[in-house]
Amino acid sequence: MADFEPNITAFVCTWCTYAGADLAGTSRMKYPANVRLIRVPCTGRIDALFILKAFENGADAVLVSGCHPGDCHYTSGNLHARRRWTVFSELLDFVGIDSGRVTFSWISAAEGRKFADLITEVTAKVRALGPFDSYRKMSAAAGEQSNAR
Amino acid sequence: MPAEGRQLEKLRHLARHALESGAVSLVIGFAEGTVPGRAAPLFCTAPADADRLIFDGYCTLNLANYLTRPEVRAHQTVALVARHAVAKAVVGLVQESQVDPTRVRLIAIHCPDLDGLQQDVAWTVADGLQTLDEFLPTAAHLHDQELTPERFAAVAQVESKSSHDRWDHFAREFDKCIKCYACRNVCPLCYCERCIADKNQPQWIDTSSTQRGNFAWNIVRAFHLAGRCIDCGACERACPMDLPLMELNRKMKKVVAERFGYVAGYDPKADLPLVTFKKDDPEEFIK
Repeated sequence: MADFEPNITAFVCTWCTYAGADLAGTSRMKYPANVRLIRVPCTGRIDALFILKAFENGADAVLVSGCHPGDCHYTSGNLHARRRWTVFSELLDFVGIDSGRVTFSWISAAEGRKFADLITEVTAKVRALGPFDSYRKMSAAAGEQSNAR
Repeated sequence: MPAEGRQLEKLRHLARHALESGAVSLVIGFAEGTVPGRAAPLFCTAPADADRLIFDGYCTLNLANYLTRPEVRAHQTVALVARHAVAKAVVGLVQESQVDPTRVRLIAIHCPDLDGLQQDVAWTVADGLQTLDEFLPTAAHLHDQELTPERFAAVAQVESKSSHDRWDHFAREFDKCIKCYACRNVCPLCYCERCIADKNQPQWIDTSSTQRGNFAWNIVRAFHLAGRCIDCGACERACPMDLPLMELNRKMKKVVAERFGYVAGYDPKADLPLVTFKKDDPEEFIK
């Protein structure tokens, strides 16, 4: 598994974390190239299905990140999202998805350092967890050989 | 006359009188099913229909499900033969503005929770038609029984397994799903006219019963009911493949109770836990 490169999908809000990632870039901070950012208007826009869809399409881990509480451009989008994540992360854990596969964070536009550090940390963690084969190997077509572990 | 017989007479009398007096134009209750051990929903529009009403431990369907149907909405006022789980679902529907509480009356049945099919169950019927506001104080004491450990025995058993074993457990269970959507159709709170599972632009959930589609469907169904499920168990009883749907629903119920201190089905004026927030909600899992 030495050559395993994690595939991390990050859903980030355009006002804070996306700008934070931008700052990390313009400040020439280094972080692993394993993350793909998907920019959404607000963390309140992130449906639980986005996370499942990312796993279906081959993500080994998902990162969800937005503005700190109180900083939301739309006042309360992140606070509503926080409640949904609370419940959804417990549900994923309950059905046996390792909590290391889904990371939630608050990263402001000024926290380029935090963004770079978090991507580094998540990448290392997912590298240790290995590819998310148990999800990816679930059959997607009728009649396909059942091969969930 | 045995006690149950007297209660049955009272139930039928209440329904008959409600229709005769014009207090309601429809009474939804149960009649004998076509096979022993089954009860079928009965829609009484004429006073004479009330003589076919029954109640026993086989009357497990959650009748609140019908309130959101167009044929029932067409009636000005509707009475439901309502054991506690039915009334809780009405609370949920009122809370979500799906049902006008002034247009619903309850013929309240007091009996233990019907967790599975059982012929003999002790039940009594309340005096007179009740509005939701009149009914709620009579059930308020049941709130404390919602979170007893016995109710969460199956959840605790799953929680005691390793993450790997939990995945195996649910992979095995979800694999049985045939995507008949009986769980959705029988649920009083799954009332969306167009369910996310039926949308195909984009196709969020595989429609065929593949492992992947089954996983997404069962997760999303449980998540969409988080903080809303009133724990009636109708979905699990309806499932032809015996998926342990209440393990998921009760896990959600437990999380919502622990994190947000909320139990669904008691307060029609309360904010739903997932459409509101507090500034100091727990967030220890967020980096």
